[in-house]
Order: sequence, then structure tokens, then C-alpha cells
Amino acid sequence: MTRSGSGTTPEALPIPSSQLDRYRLRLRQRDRGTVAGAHLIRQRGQSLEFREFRPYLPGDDIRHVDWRASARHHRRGELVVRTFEHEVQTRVVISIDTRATMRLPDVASKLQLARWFAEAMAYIAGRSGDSVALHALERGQVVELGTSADRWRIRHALQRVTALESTSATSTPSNGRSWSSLERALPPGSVWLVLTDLYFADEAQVMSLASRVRNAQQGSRWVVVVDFDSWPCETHRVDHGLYRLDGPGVSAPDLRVRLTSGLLDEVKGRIDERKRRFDRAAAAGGYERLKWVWPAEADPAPRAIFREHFFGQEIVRRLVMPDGAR
Amino acid sequence: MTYAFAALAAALVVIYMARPNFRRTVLSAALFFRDDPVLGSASRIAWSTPRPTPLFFLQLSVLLLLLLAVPHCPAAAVMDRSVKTGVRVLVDRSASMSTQQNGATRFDAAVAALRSAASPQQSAIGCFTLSAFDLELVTIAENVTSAADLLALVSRLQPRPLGTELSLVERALNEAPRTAPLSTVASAKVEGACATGTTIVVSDMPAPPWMDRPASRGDVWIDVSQPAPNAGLVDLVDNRDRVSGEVRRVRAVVGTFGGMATSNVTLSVRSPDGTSRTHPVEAWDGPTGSVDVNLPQPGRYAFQVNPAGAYRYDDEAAIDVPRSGPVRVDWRVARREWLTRLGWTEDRDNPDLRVLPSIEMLDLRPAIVVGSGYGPRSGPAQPVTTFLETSPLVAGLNLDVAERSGMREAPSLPPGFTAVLSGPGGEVWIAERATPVAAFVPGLPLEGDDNVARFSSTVFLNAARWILERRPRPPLFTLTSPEQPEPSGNRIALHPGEGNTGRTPRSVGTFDPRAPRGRQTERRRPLWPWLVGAAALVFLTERGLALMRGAA
Repeated sequence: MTRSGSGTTPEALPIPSSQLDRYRLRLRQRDRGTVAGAHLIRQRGQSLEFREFRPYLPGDDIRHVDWRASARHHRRGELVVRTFEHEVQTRVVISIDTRATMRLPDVASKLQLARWFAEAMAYIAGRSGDSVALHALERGQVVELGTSADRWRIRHALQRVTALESTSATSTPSNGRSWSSLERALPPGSVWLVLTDLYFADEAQVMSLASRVRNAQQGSRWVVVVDFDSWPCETHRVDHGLYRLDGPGVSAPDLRVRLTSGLLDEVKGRIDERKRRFDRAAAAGGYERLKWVWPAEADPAPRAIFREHFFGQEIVRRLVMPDGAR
Repeated sequence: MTYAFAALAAALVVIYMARPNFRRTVLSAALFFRDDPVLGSASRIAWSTPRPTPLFFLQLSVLLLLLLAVPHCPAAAVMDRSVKTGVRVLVDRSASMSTQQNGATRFDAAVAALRSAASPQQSAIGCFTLSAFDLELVTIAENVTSAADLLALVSRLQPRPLGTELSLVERALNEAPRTAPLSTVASAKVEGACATGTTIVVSDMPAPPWMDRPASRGDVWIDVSQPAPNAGLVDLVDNRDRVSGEVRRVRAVVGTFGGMATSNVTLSVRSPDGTSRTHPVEAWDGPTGSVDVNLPQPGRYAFQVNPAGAYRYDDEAAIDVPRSGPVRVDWRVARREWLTRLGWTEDRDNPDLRVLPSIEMLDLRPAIVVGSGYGPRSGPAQPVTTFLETSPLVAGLNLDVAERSGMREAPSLPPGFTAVLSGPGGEVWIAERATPVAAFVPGLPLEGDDNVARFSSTVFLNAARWILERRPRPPLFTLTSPEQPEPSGNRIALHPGEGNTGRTPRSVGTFDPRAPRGRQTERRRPLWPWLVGAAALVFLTERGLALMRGAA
């Protein structure tokens, strides 16, 4: 079902490279062996970087004792050892939901923000030397970006993944064949970002995606589902009264409803319940769902929504961090 | 135009009915509403009651205001060619319409005037109603659909030797479409066969002043007369003895009109015995002169004016002079010698007057009730307290005599009597009754030559004269009437004013069946500008609201 906004040329990410250059994937801290996620990295070679001094513990390699630092240590007789961290490469796969529900609302489509998110993440990961692949959640198409930080190439790949319009708003995301291509692109220890609104037509579709997410975690993968929630914005734009509802998943004849605050609350509760069930089915230790919420405004600015969430909310804390931060 | 605005209003309602009641909106979460109740039909067009939005009511108000304004708007009435008006035609067919002018009668001129007025406007005239008037107003035909039929009907009419009663026309004009006075359109839409919008009056009389009133605006008065020389009888005034009713003379009043010379006008009189005598008309006072004609014997006298003029019904006249005789009296009192003295004859079966000694004998016939007479004078004078000055019974009376003589109180009089002269205690001395005519007098005339005798004679003779003058007397002639319109014998067509052929013509109005017809007073302000102004104001408000909503 064609929806407005689907055929428009994707806007470029409104963040200059100079600003993105200040970030790198936070995932690279997970190699210290003291935090969950150490399994997510792999040895890359002999490259070791000094991290910090700490008191000697029994079992530490005696070769790592820094005698000079031990002599300056304020506690006499206590040795101090050097600690190092490994330089690792992370595999990041970004799955983008391209169904018709993602192409709404017109004023700030969820797909537009998903593109920007994917572009920013791919650029930061590429600059960090991490490998990135883009994946069309519905069709299963996988586009490899490697470690490229070329924004033009990233955009081109994004366009390939998202330009093809979905013929159904309610189609199941990925069939069996496309899942296999995704699994090949998603080796154990990789990070899988799923950009979707979770507006699936029925429970089976929800459970299908949830089972994939759950399986991915069993493969030592970290799955982050970014939930694009435009409900506050879209419901703010309609008054109460009689409406002829149109949208993905609604077939002719029109869906005629009397919108009331009670009905809107009821539907919102229905959506939230479905997302909670998704969470319960998908969670297996390495799953997180982040919410990008559209403000309750009639005409919100997409750039403002992106900036608010990418730099000011969960994303920064969970996925990326300013370069030099510890 | 009325229908156009009504159709627009109806279309507006339908548009708002057909407009979908459901506003369309697109939600990405629309699929989560699929389980909720579906309202309305599946059709894209929802037929329902009009959406009660302010814009709808404002737009409807504009159309309704214009709809109300149209019937009041003269311009719209003129522009509305689809509305045909009914025309009422009143044709004068009185005697004067037979006057010859320019080789034809005035009635022929009336037909020609109607043809020139109605035929060009045939397309705008829905129907005609034809009426004729003289001394009566008669509807000849209704629902005449064409001017040709109308003219054919008028042509079949003929002038009648009757007078002209213009008050009938005035009343007809006032009564025409009073119920819908504002416009031609509204007037023409009166339910019925042929609603009158405009009235055309065709006559040889000049338009009366009431045709200039606003109420008659839109009506047309066509005066077809032109001055024509005429001489004829204007009136015949008899000279009768007031008591006996004997006709001794008649004055023939002759008039000349339209430039007719007065010098050669004569009056020929043919007596009952067949002799004729021609009298020159003298004593001219302006256009009228007169001839006093002695009538030595009873019978029919025929009059003829020479030369004859353009109008023929005033050229000849005939009168019947009744045979006169002595007054017939039913004398029931003493002193019967008074019958002889007064020249009266005794007739108890068919009296002109009854003289009664008692009030109990009074009936409905004319009578003088005689009291008990005048008593001897005694004591001081009795002042008169009631004196009905206008009564003919006290004409010439010396009231001092009444105060000093012995007047006796009248017996109890029946209802209807009015005291003419009464004494200090309210006692009635002389009384009269108008209907049936009767009088009470104190007594019969006394013998002698003193004041009391003269008083008594005067009172009695006053009463007798008053009663005898009021008895019906046969007329010398009668006028033709709608029931008997043709002159015959002493029934003549000497109706006032019919022979005046010298009037200055005066027509009023121009026939335009689409012109608004004024039935309201001029002080009444037209309503339609206010309605149009209100519609414009509401329209501006509606546009302003629509603009603000669009901007929002």
C-alpha cells in the first residue's frame, strides 16, 4: 500500500561529519573481562593499549608489575600492575523496518528518522573500524558496508535498502530465506540493531520477530530494538469526533470510528500490551528496547526529534560515547 | 429568481447532507482500530441530516435572506420574466360612451385604446378579467387568456343609456389585490384563477383625483374622450304646490358643451293635446340656460332640444304631469265647515290626511290629533320652556300668545312623539311624530281675528301643510336603471353629467404589466435593501470564519 512520504527522496542526515567524528562505539569497552559482553569481542592481534594501574592480585603476570610505580605507591609493600585492553572489531547489523507504518506520519516519518539513525551509526562504526551491514527487515536484503565511513556510500546503501516500497503494511518481517541471509551477516558476538515501530498486524508476526531476536541473543549477540513511537504526535493531530481512518492495514471500505479519549487510551494500551509481550518473548539476556517518542505536536521537526534522541537519550549512553570518554 | 434562490438553498442543504460526516485522517496505528465498532455506511457519501456547522448555517442564512428579499425587490420583479401578471380591464359602457367623436363612438375609441395597450404586452400577461361599469359594475369574463379574445369580448359590448358611478371603480381598485400589496410578483401569485396585478380603466371620464394616490400606482386610467359639440337637456325641475301637489310649471335646464354655440339652441315642447311650441333657451349662465314651461293640463309633455349634439340621450325627454285634485281628508272632529273653507273633500277610505279628536284613534296613517282646545286666560303667564325651533309646526307662531292664552296639556302621547312646545311644568302643548307622520295641536282654528285665533289657525295649518308635503307624489319622470336600461315613456336617460362632452381629457399611468404596483403608503420604507444588506453582512462573516478556519 503506497503511503505519502514513501516516494520522496530521503533527506540527508542533518548532522555534519565533524560532529559525528567526536563519537565512537561504546561497545569497544566490553573487552575488559569484568563486564557482561566480553563475549562480544574477539582478539584482533597483538595490539594492546595501556588502560590503568591497579593493585597486584595473586595470579597476575609478574611481568606486568610496574616497579617504578610500585615504588611511588603510597602503600609501602604493595605492588602495582599495569592493565591493558584489547583492540577489537565489532560487527554491527542494522535492520530497518520499511513497512508502510514506518512511512508515517507525513510530517516526520519514522522511516526518515530510522535512515538518519542508521546513517549515523554506520558512520560512527565505520570510523571506529567496525564492520557494518544494513538489512531490510521485511525483504531480508542485506547490504554490506564493511568498515567504510564514506557517508555517500552509506546513504546509497540506505537508499537501496529502504527505497523499495512495501506492498503490505502487515507483511511478516522477513521470511525464512531472508532470515538465513541475515544470520549469515550476523555472526556470534555481533550487535543487531532493529529499527521498527513494532506495529505488526497480528500476534504471529510479533512472535516471529521476537523469536528471531531471542535466537540472536543465544548466539552471543546483543540485540537493541529501537522503538519508533509516533503515537503522541499522530493522536495530537486529530480532534475527537467522527473519522474515516486510513492507514496501513486498513483495507477498503473505510474504517469509520468515533475517536474519543477513551478509545485512544484503549488502543494505546493495546499497542503497549503487544510491545510488552514482544519484550517478554524476545528477552534472553542480551536484549534491550529503546524508545524514540515523537512529541505531542501537530507539526514536529524531524531534526529536533533526531537530535533529542540520538545525542540526549538512551542511544548515546548505550551504543555510542564521545571519543576519549571512559 | 425566487425559484433560483430556493433551488440554491435546497442544493446547499443537499451538499451538506451528501458531504461525508467522517473526516479523513491517516494513522500509522490505524490497524489497531480494526476491532472497534464501525460506524455509518460503507458509502463514501453519507446521506444524513446536514452537518450543523456554523458555516452551513451562515451560508443557508445568506440564501434565505436573498430569498426573502427577491419578492420585495422591484428590480427582481421586473427581471423575473417568468412571472406573468393578471390584468383587470374595467370598461365604461355608460350612455356617454355613445358620444360621437371623430366619426366613431367613444366606445370604439375604447376598444382601440385597449388594443394598443394590451396587445404589445401579451407575453407578460397571464390572463385578463373583463368588467364593465356604468351604474353597476359587472364582471363580463374571467381567465381571458389572450388580448384578441379580450378585444372580441369588449367589441360585443354596447354603451347603455345609464349614468356613470365612479365610486364603483374606486372601490374595485381598492379591493383588487390588497392582500398582497408589495409587488406585482407577489400580487400575481395569489391563488385562484386570475390574480390581478394591474387594472386598466377605460372611460370617457377624466381620471379622478384618487387615481393619483400611491395606492393606485401601477393602475392605468385611459380617458378616450375628446371634446365634441353638444347641446341637451341637463335637468327638468318641477314646480309643485306644496300642499296639493299640483304641477303648474317645469323648468327645463339646457346645457351646451364642447364649443356648441348657445344662440340657436331651442326647446320644443309637445303638449298632451298634440300641440307643439318652440321656446328659445334663455337665461344663460355659462354653459347652461333654462326655459320655464307652463303645464296647463295633465298628461305627457315631450321635450326636444335643437340642434342635436354629439350625445343623443339628452336631446329628448318626456314627463307625465299627474292629474291633481282636492286634498282628501278623513275629518273626525266638529266644525266640518273647515273642510269647505280649505277646499278639502271628505274621504274616509283613502284620505291624504286624518283629523282626529282623540289620541286613541291614531294609527299609522298621516293624522292631526286635535286637543281639547284653548281655554280662557287665567292667572299669570305660562312661560314656554321647550321650543323646538326647527319644527315647521311653530313656523310663524307668536309664542307670547302661547304664554298668555290658556294652553292645555296634551294627553299622554304614544312613543315617537317629540315635544315641539311645552309649558313650565313640562306639559306638552304641541308635538310631532316623524314616522309615521302625525302631529298634535291644541285645538281647531278659532273664529275671530285676535291673536289666539291667528295662533290656532297657524298651528293647525302648519301641521296640515307639514303632513301633506310629506305624502308621496308621483314623479314627472324616472331615470333609466340597470334593471330597465332602455328609455321608454317618461323613463328617460337624463343622468347627470353624461351629456357633458366638453371635459378636458385626463389619463393616468402607462400600462406595464411588470411594473411594481403600489399598494402601500409612500412613507413605508422598502424592506428588500435591508434584507440584501443583512445577507451581505452574513456572507462577509461566513467568509471571514472560513478564512480563519482555513488558516488554522
